[in-house]
Amino acid sequence: MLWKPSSILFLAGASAISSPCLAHARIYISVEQAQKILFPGSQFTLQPILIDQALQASLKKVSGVHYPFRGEHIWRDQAGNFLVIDEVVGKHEMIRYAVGITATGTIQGIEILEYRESYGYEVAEQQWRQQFVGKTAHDPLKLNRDIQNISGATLSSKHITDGVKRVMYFYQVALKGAN
Amino acid sequence: MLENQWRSLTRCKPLLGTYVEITAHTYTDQSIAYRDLQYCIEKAFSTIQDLHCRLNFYADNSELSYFNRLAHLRPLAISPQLKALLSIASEIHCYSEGLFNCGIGQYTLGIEKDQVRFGDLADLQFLAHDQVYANRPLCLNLGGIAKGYAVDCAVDILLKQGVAAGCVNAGGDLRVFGLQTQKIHLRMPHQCHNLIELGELQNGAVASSANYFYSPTSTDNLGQRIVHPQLQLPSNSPHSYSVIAPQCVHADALTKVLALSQQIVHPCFERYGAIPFIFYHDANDITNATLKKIRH
Repeated sequence: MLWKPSSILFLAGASAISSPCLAHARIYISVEQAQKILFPGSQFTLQPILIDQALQASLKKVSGVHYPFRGEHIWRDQAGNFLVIDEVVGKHEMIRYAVGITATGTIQGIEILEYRESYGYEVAEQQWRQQFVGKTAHDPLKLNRDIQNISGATLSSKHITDGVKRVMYFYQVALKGAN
Repeated sequence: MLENQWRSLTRCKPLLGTYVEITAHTYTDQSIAYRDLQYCIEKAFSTIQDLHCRLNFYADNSELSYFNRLAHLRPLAISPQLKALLSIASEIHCYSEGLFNCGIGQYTLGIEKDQVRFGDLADLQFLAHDQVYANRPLCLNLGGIAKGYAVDCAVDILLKQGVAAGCVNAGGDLRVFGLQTQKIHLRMPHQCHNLIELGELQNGAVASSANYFYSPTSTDNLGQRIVHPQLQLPSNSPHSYSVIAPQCVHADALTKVLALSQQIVHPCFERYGAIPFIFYHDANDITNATLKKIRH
């Protein structure tokens, strides 16, 4: 193990924390990559579904997720497997994720596509952009590497658990019949 | 240009009750191809998934629940993974003089103190043939160490597969590996969206504990908070506690020793080659033993 403390830590008090950088956003994989990971070799086509108010209300009741479910990112392959893209908006984060559901109705896997913190707050959004000041489009990798390894108290993934519950209920009532 | 020689892949999955992120780097001229990184990451995720199922305190069908139910009745043959983790946990329990203690599961389940007298890690007897017996009924919750252990297991898998460098981060408990040093950021306890650069780490782990995602009045997150083993009360400290150590399992467990002892010079840290940091919420300052010496 090799450890080099940051030079700003050697300053005591508030001055040490004078220029924090703001927490982050991350895109892990695309929808196409998620399709390849969860169902290798399958060809998916977009099959959007209109969610009426009654279904929206029952989805909310079953899962406890208040944020409306959007039916425009549903993909299906010829074997009857589905890939449903959903978003969860928590107090601290917005997460876009994919749930792979097999033709028999079991979960093939869950992949996080995108993670963003401070979502939904205009001020935070503006602050979030500030971390890109001075960076150019030519060094996205470097930027990513700069804020890659973040330690901190555990962020609970309960929102995803509720979200997946909602997606699976949606599958039961709206997608299962399509097979 | 170093960046051009590296190819990397990062994936994230909801596991262990949090978000687990795995990054794998490879050199472009190395034998391990870019598409193989996908396979290596998949293997690492399935290792974590397996541990998630085995060590889940809240699932009745997990190996840990089975162990909690029966270990005081007869010696139980358990998996090498659970045995290894219990033996590491018992060792830290011993060296921290009981401050690190997984025998607090009854508290997280809301069982009254006087209802049953549960045992703890000190009651475990490690017998031959992977068998473990407990002197008293158990309600062990391995939440204070399992994430770190899972991170180490995932890193071992990635290294075995030939991944040159990378990082496994289980919701803030992370380990970096490989020849390059990697920057480590820490969340500020009072503004959790802000990060401070802690330093650069190579082949090591960092874990942190703090209550900053949780409201002190809320009861929803009791399972996520540190419980004092002697007082059987959750910690309401506003400070953030981080430990750097070669192994993530040690870093994870030692954050509990740091948070409960509030001592940056506890002998336990030296034993595991660990460097503790306390980030004081009120003083807006971060400190550890070395920084204290340099500053004064």
